[in-house]
Amino acid sequence: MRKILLGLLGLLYLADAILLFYSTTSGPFPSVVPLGTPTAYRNIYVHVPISISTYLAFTLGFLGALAYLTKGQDKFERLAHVSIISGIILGASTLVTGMIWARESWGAAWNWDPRETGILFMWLAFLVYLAIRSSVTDPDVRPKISMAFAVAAYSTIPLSFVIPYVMPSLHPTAPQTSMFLKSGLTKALFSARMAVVNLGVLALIVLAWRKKVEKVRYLAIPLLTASLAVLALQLPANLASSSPSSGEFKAVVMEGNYNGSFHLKVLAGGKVYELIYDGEPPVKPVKVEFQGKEFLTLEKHWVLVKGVVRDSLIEASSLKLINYWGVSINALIYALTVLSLLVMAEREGS
Amino acid sequence: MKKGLYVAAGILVMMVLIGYLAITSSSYVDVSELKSYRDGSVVAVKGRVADTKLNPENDLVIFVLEGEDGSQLYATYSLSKFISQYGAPPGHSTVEQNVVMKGVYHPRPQGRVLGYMDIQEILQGCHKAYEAPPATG
Repeated sequence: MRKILLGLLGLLYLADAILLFYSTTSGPFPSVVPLGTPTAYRNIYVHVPISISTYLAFTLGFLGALAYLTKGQDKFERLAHVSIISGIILGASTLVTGMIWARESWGAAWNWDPRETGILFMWLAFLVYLAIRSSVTDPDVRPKISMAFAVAAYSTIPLSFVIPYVMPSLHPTAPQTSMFLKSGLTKALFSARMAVVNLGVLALIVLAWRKKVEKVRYLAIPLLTASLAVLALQLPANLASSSPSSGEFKAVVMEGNYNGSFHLKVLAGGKVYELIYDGEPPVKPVKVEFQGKEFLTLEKHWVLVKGVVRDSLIEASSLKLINYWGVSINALIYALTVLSLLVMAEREGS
Repeated sequence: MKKGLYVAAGILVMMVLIGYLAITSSSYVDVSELKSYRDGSVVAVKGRVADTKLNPENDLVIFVLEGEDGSQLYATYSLSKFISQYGAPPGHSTVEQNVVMKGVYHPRPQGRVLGYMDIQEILQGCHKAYEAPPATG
């Protein structure tokens, strides 16, 4: 039975690795965004599932603690403890992946946004749980005090979740996000990532709680491989020179139009250039109608340009999209988070 | 065990209060609320961008931010810094009219205008992005 469960978990992580690779390299993103490069929104497939699984882990911790306080059985205290440790690992990952995304799409990594503050407060509250648990040495008193605090700390979850609905926040609400998730591929990809990530967290918590795991950290290999592949694929373009004299260089598209070929204004190395390109469009669709205006979807994107430069005119022979570096870093952070959860499960479940 | 539950309920109420205060105090103030702020206050203000004025000679961009009651704030930022940070001059292809700007406030009341602000950070939410159709690349 144990081997079957671990086999299923291995398959789950294999599917997760494929989904992680595909969503972060080819997943759809909003065609028009207020700030930063639109590919930063591929973080929706990484950051959002992690944050929901944080809520899931803490909710299991709360239910375990509540069950312990009402029934007094040690097995519930164990469930609460394993879930809370998982929640703390996932919470740290939520904060870091969110900061990396916010740096590009909101203008600054930390903004004291009400939900950001709420998540930080929630995470700190559960760190206090760990401090309380490790500081009380009496084995009879320790579970009672720590479980009482775990129930109380859960109050921070509804606070952090509800706040963007009642106060001005940079965070969107769930109905706002779901508007983007209506279309076929986007919805399928996002739902699959949500299901796989949360199922993985749930399975690990249950396995660690039931003491059914020993050496499982190798199960993170597919995810680590996938995230390193994303990094190897995307980071070099991000690190490319922005000087047009360097052969292949990166630039940001300021504005332009498309009539079979692109006529763009791009910014490279602090200077504005006119760019002409008549090859394959790097973003599809090329134009969209939104809020009564027509937008060229290539605007605001970072691009890797190859071509001939004459003064302030670039005749491009190649124009490739650069995926925001934070997406590949966040994919790696997610893989490391799963590895940490597996190591935790080994320690708690052996 | 019941005693544990009572302790939990007590701490829970306390944490809800502390959390609520911490989160609400971290929210953004509307331009109209600046009337009660003193000269030199560092504040994160939210408002609608009513107008954007470019002054390339002095490397300045001036945002006219409007609050809920129509009062206005002139917020200034370096134009070259804005372009290098955000890739394009302000006002182009924008889909979000509401912004949050963090900076140092200087009250200079004159008609609807409450004063000006030296911007340290320009923050924009991502709400409108999700209404846009998806793209791939």
